Amino acid sequence: MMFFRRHAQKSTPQQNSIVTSPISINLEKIKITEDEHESTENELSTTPTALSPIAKTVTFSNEIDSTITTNTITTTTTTSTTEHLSLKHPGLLRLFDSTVCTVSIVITYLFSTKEPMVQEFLGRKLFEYPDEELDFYLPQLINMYIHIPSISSVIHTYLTTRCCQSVDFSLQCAWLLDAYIAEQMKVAKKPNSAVLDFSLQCAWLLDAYIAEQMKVAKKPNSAVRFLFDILYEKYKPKICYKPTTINNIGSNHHRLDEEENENATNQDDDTKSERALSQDNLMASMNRKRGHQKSRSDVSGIILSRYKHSLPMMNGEPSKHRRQPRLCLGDLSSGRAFDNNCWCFESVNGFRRRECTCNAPKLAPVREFMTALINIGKKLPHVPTKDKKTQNLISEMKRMNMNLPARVWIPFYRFPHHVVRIAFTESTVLNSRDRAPYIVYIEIVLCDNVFASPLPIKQNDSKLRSTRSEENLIEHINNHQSPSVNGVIGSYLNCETQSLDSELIDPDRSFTNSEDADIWSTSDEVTADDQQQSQTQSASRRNGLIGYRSNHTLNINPETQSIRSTESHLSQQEIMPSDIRKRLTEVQTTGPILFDRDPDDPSAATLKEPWDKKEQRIRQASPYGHLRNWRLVAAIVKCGDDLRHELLAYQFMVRLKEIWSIEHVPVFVRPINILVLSNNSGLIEPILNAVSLHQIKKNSRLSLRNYFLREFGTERSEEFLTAVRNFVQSCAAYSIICYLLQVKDRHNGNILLDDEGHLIHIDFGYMLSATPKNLGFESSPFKITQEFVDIMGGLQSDMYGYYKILILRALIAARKHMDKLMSIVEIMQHGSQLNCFSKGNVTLGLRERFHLNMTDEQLEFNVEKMVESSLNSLTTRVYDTFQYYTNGISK
Amino acid sequence: MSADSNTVNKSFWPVKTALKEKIVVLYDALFSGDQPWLDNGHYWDDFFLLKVNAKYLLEELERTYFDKPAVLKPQLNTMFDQCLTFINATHRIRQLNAYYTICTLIHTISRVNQRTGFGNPALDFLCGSEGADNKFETLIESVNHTFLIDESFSGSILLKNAAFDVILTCCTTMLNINENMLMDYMMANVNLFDSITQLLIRCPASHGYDVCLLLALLLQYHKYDTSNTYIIRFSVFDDEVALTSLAQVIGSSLNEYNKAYDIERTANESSSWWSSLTTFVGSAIQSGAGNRRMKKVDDCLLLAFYEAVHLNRNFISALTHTATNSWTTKGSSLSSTDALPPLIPVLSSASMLAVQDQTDFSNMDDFSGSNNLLSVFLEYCSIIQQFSKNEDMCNTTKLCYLILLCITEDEFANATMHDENVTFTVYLHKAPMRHRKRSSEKNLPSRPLAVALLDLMMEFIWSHMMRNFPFDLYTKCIGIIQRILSFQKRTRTRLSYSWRPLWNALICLLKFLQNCESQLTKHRDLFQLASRIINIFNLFITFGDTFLRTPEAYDEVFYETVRCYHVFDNLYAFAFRYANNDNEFKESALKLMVNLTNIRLITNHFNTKIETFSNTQNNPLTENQVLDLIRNNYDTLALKLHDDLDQYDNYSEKTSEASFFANITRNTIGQYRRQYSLDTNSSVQLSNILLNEVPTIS
Repeated sequence: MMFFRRHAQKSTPQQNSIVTSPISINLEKIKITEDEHESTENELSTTPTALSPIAKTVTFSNEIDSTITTNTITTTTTTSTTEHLSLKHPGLLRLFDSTVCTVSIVITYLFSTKEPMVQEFLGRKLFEYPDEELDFYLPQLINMYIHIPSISSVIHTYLTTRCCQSVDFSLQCAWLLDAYIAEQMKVAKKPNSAVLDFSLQCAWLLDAYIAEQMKVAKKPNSAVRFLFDILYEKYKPKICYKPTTINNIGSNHHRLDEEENENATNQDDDTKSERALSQDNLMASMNRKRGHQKSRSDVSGIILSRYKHSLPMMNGEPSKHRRQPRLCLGDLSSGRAFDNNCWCFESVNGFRRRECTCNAPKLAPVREFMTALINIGKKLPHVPTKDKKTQNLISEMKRMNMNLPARVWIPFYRFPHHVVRIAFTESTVLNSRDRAPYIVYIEIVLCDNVFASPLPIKQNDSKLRSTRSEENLIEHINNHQSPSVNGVIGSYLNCETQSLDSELIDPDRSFTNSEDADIWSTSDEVTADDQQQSQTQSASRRNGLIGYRSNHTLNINPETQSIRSTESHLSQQEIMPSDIRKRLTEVQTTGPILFDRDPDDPSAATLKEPWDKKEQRIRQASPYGHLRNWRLVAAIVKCGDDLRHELLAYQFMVRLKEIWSIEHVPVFVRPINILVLSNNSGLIEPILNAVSLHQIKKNSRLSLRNYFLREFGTERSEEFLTAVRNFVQSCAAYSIICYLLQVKDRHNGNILLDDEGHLIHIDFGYMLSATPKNLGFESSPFKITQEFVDIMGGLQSDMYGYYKILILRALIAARKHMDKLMSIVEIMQHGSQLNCFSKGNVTLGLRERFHLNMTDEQLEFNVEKMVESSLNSLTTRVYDTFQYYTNGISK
Repeated sequence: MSADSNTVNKSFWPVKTALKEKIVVLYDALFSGDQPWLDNGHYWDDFFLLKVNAKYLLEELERTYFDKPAVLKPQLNTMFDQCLTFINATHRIRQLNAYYTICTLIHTISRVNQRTGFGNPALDFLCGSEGADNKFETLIESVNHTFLIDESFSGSILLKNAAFDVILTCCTTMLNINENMLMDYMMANVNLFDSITQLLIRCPASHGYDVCLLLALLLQYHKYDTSNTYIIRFSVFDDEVALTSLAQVIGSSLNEYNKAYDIERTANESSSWWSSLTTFVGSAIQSGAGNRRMKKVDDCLLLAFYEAVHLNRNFISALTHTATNSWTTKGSSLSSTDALPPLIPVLSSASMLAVQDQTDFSNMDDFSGSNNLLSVFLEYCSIIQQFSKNEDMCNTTKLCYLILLCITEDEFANATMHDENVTFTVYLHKAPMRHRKRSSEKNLPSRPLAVALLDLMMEFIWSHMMRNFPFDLYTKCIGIIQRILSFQKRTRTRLSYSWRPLWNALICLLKFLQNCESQLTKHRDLFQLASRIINIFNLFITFGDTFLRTPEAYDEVFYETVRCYHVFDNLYAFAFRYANNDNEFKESALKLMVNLTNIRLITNHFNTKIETFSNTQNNPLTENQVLDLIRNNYDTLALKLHDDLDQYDNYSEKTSEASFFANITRNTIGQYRRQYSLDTNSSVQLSNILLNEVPTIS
């Protein structure tokens, strides 16, 4: 009954922490009951029975600790809460049970209510909502978990259950906890970190460790946090590997094992996770029963740690070495830095396991991947020039590439995928004075399930096209590689050599000239899907284009080719230098507007390149480009900046966007997805096809209106008018956002313009009560300059009027759904150390900016006034000038 | 360094015998022809526990070999067998000593048999006629096994070094590697390849050099005619990590050399050039405190580099891999760590992370991003090619150029070199010449590598127009330029490069060829070289639209050709002379004349225009005026189309450079044998390590 004890120990401090009403104890006990039940079930190794939860509990309740007298019938727990609610707050219960009760309302009430009963009820209620909706509020949940003890106990079950189901969720929790806990936990964390680290490596020491921790950590609050610390490192991943996640994540993709059509589908998530849990326990208990037979991952887990050298490996047998490479998570030069050595899903003799039975760390690969990205970001600021930074970045990315493909993924792209390669030559350092955020372009391959789908085979960069003979050779050698048949290999390879010398190497090289040329051709129309075809196409097209090389030159054998080239005879054809020069001039003047490569601002050219062009180019150059599921994604890695603000702004904008679409206000927002990794690092989803106003001005040397004209066509053209409308719609939206959130630091480097004319604000590092250096510039409600108005067509234009109407409508809509917006900010403010909450009553200020007391007419007048004052604001201009002189950002 | 037992017992020894090491006593007992192990059950245990006295053993072996071979043979066979037994023993000191002993045995036999060759008789003498195959197989397997010992195993570096000593001794028994019988055993045991590539991954710092040497030698054995399993294995080898390690091993050695040269050069800036050169070369050989045995950048490293580039296309992507590990730049300090407990290069990231946060990035010049293999190699070339008067250096330069030739034939390498995102700062050393100033500017902008390569080639052209004309190198140089240009043409890559200096260099070279007619035509086909140069111009003229960046650059091609029209005219006349009478060059002279057609059309066309225009003016024409004239008169000019301008003979080692590589291999082996010295002190080091370890083990 080891497991029973383990769970019991874990939950004890919780019980202490909770303001213990009899029922909550009851709840806990029931949880134990269930656990108990599961483990017993495992012992009996029964398949999931058809017993209803109630029956189960009844069956096993006799066996549990007899001290619990209140443990009557399980069903009463839920009903009793409900009863309690119906007695005390009948209205609330009606609300909660009604269909209008959204996640937002639940979260808001969870936060605002002080009644344990209601909290309890809402904590259970969370299970009823789809995962995606709740995921949105994860930052809020985590923040409450950290700061409000009573809530943490209520939502604990929910969070752990979710963690058990998905690695992604565990990761998110871990990162968010890490980020929001940071300030408070530093002190508490330190003394035990060594123990923690060590115990992480040895799963089976964990029980003892937890027990230890429970004794050490007396304060309930810190105990909870500690629990979570452990949770995200080891407790969860132990449970959350496996087919449950397969079913959850990849439910709409085709099942991995086609023949699997068991009851798995009609079971709900909870029971599945229970099964997962129980199977895990079974495994572990079996291990234990067998005595000290270390499982594979136990050993590797130990090796992983820095204690490795204290456990000298005796002469590693070569054969063993090859079979089971050591675990080197995080060691980039090993080539397997993101490999957790889990081979559970490798198909053996056509049979593929359904779940992962090894103890390999599940969160570690992605976490290591992110750590690697962040570490690079930490190193870069120390490199002197932009030029050198980019150089360094490229080489670091190349190093990362050695470890790819791997079972890692970029968390904010929701579809399951494997990262196969980083298009390292494309990575660029972005503009920033003292930090070095950078953008990476990552090649991914979509898959059914990240853990189980086979990884693409590693392809070498230079191996764009592998010759047939070469492949055969590899295959043969591999087949014959078993050390026992040395003689055979010898003789076999003997005969192979001859062919190699005469055919393989040399022709291989000589063919590269004729064939590789086509792959490398820069023609744009080539779609990578039918490369074979396109090769010949592009070849012939080029020949046609240039027109002086007949097609057959491509097919010449190397031997004849060399003879021909020595002869290099003159043909009768004539060429005109004037034509050549004309073509040269055309090349220069036609084509898309691209920014020049500037060593001081390497990102401008990179970001300006249209995404589809870039994707196509990278696909062609990539050794994985031929895969059907190949995709290119991008991510900005930022170090040294607190992205929690950005996350808050993101949530706020997503809600606003929803509200506006519900209310049919045609404004445009583009929320930027954020992945907070810690309190000072994270990933940002880049906005494709957008460059900053600063870069536009610097590179095109045009006013914005003229730039619009150049990009989109003449004043009366369809494209131009659409672009202007987009501009106005986005401008209005961001005016509201900037006003509501009091977003500051609005210089031209922080405002982007995309290829459809949308204006997009980025960098919400200063908002609400925070201002850059607290200088007090930018006192206007939002940023609107004369240049913007010029794009709209001047102060008298219809578009400018439309802009003001949009602002009004958007503001009214936002006001209507104010509660949704307020709760996001309010909850995050609780206990927060963020500097956007540092001064004054932020929520009150925010609430005031919705102008609840105004009539629509008054609001209209107010909007008019705000636009007016923003337009004429002196401080906006002063700030731009300030930025111009200090950071060289164009006015 | 005598064993302790010696000093203890010495007072009991008879006075008349000189003080002898105990191991020497044991040797003597062997060579006397007795069978001491029959009397003393611990004889072999003692034998291998004591430090090997390689020098004494070698001398004695040689002496007895010539004096009484019949006595020696059975003793030798027994020794060999015992060595094999102890190599597989678990006792590490005995293992180490057994390696050293076997190494000495093989070396001695190879020395005494140098003239007759290391054939069956020698083998028979060494280990008996029966089971020689098995014995060597066992030996190689044990070596293999040793290679794969975990690094955390104390003394593993020493053991591996000893294993390398054995295997390299086996590889170098004959100067001509093809005559080396022992190589057959290597060929049979392909596992060796796996283990050395593993070594490359795990501890490139301590064994990288040896791996390169071994690999280079293995790949040379019967390169063209019969089986060489290693060639196959290596050509399809695609472990990126190992290849990157290989690149870094080579790159870091080259980098060290470059740095040493730079220090030397700046130190001798004031003194005369030649003295500085000689001292540099001298000091590089003596003082280079690099890895074990590595005194300067050996040809074997370059040879390994060449084979990697030549055989393995996957290696190409490692070329531009920048070394970010710290060991690469601190290779020199590693010699001392041999004695220390082994380093553990792979720490878990968690601990690394903690360290990294605190480090103060003081050595940020390591992050300059320019120590990738290719850019370091280009700098190295620029140094080496300055000294190509020296025959040895000339060979090295040739090897370098062959590497470059292979690189420029590879599409992927070309693409990387032309990628505008992948830029590096490459400092190219320039030989001081009277007519130009030495630029010592260190803060060069970073550029695509193709630019650096073109500059390197241009520098070669300028600096080698000398009496002792390096015809072969020039051919390769022009070949490299042609390959780059045809890549650009094929892929429509527009490199931002100012071509004019290159044209000028080429024109100068043409002029030089004419001037040296009398000396050069005796041996070499000048016209062929000239044709290739002219073809480069033809590429610009006929395909300029595919790879030039601006129309102005195209004008400049014409400007330069017109400006130097007399060079082309003279060249034509020169070729005409040879084409019209019977001689061996007639054909290539004719071809040159054909290739010159377009250039002559151009010069004639524009010269007439320029003449008529300048007649109307008093002043000599300015450059802009001429350019204007050119621009305005394109229309009336029609040129002939040359076929296959961008085609070149693909490099094939077998047909053209086989003897060169045989020679290089011979030199490498010779060098290894010259430097051959066993550092048997490591057994003392090992015992020290093990002694220190005792408390920790308990």
